[in-house]
Amino acid sequence: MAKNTIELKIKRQDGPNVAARWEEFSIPYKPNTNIISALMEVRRHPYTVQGQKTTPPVWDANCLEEVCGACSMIINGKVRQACSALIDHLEQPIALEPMTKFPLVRDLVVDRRRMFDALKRMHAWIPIDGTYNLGPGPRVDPNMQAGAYSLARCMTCGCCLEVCPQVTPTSKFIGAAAISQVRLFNMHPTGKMHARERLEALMGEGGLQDCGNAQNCVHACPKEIPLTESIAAMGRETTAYVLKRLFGG
Amino acid sequence: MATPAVWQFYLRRLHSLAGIFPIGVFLLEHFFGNAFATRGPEAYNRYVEFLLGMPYLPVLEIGLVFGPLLFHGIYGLFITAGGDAFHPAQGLGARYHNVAYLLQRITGIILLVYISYHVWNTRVQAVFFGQHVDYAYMARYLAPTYEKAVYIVGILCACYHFAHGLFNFAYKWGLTVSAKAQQAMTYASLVVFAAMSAVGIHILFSFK
Repeated sequence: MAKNTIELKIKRQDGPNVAARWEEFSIPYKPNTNIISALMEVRRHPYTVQGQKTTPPVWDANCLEEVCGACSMIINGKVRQACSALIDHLEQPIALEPMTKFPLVRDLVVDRRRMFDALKRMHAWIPIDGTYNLGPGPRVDPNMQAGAYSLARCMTCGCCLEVCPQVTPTSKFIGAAAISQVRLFNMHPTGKMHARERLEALMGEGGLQDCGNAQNCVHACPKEIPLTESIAAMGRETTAYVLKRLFGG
Repeated sequence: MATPAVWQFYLRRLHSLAGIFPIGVFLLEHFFGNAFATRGPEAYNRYVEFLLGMPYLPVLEIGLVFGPLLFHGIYGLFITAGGDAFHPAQGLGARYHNVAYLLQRITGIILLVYISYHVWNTRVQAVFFGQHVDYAYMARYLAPTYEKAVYIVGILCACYHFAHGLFNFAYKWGLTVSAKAQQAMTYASLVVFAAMSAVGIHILFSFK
């Protein structure tokens, strides 16, 4: 039977300190609709299934091609990006909820600041500007390029934190994304120059040590980043760093 | 957690290491030594006498067994409190390592209770109350079915906690980096769990 409507259930919350409620919507079916376009349709006509007028739901979105990470939300119980979640592949009614590990702003919008704060603390970039011309960087062999590329796909979307039992609204754990970024920048020949700073930060509060080895992150990552390999690789790098610091060499 | 940030990394590594050495090594010795029970009362009693006659015994017992166990157990409780052990699978399906995360914490808590009980009956009784612990005492003590059940649970928990601890150690310290190596280590840890459980339960039923 061809469906001629799309049934949505959205977890609504007007602000961080108000109670959440579920609202159901029914919109006309259109082929190739994704969650974002379905939400836009709801916004155009914000009436619940019961015919009650409500406020237009709020969500975050930007690139619409699964490279920015802004539209992460829990869709039918699974955290993923709304832009790449096609209605035709989902069981209806489709339940939409905000991620739970981040402070809620409103409806489906959360504040992922803890991830960006972690990247800043981890020194997750390569300083290339100086007071004089630093010249071209060293050549990078293609194998390393391929390895680095798989790590560079991270879009700080928050899926790995959402599924991590060690990340809770009160814990300080930085999560797999930031750990993997330390690996990325420490393997780069220019980035290596600040490897020590990153390792020190990684061994700081809420750092690498807080990983509980549940290995959910790697299965939740929409970009298929080898997060558990990154965590173990950083385990090895910090082991080597600590041994070096203790015994020299 | 209240520990200063700078200590957390080292405490967590020390916790991981303590689980392998000395605690894990002691567990292996404990199984191997007690396996003399399978050779009959005389062999077992000779082993007990050997242990009791060891030089520096109190230092070894406190420094290599009791102290590390206490640290590992109490710090483990802090680790458990720092995470969400009953975290749902969240649409990822029932995955082994997510279950292992929970099992490691549950077995750890059971072991705190079980080991206290075990040490109370087999060591504290001997040291403080003059009870002579030998084959006859163990056979009498382990005779009731409920006691056997308690020990089976304790042995299974200890074997799992140690075996999965091997995987955790290899992961945390960076011995197994590639996904393939981690997978192999997962299987290896399950083999260790099965083998040690079999030995442990065999020993338990050797006290007749």
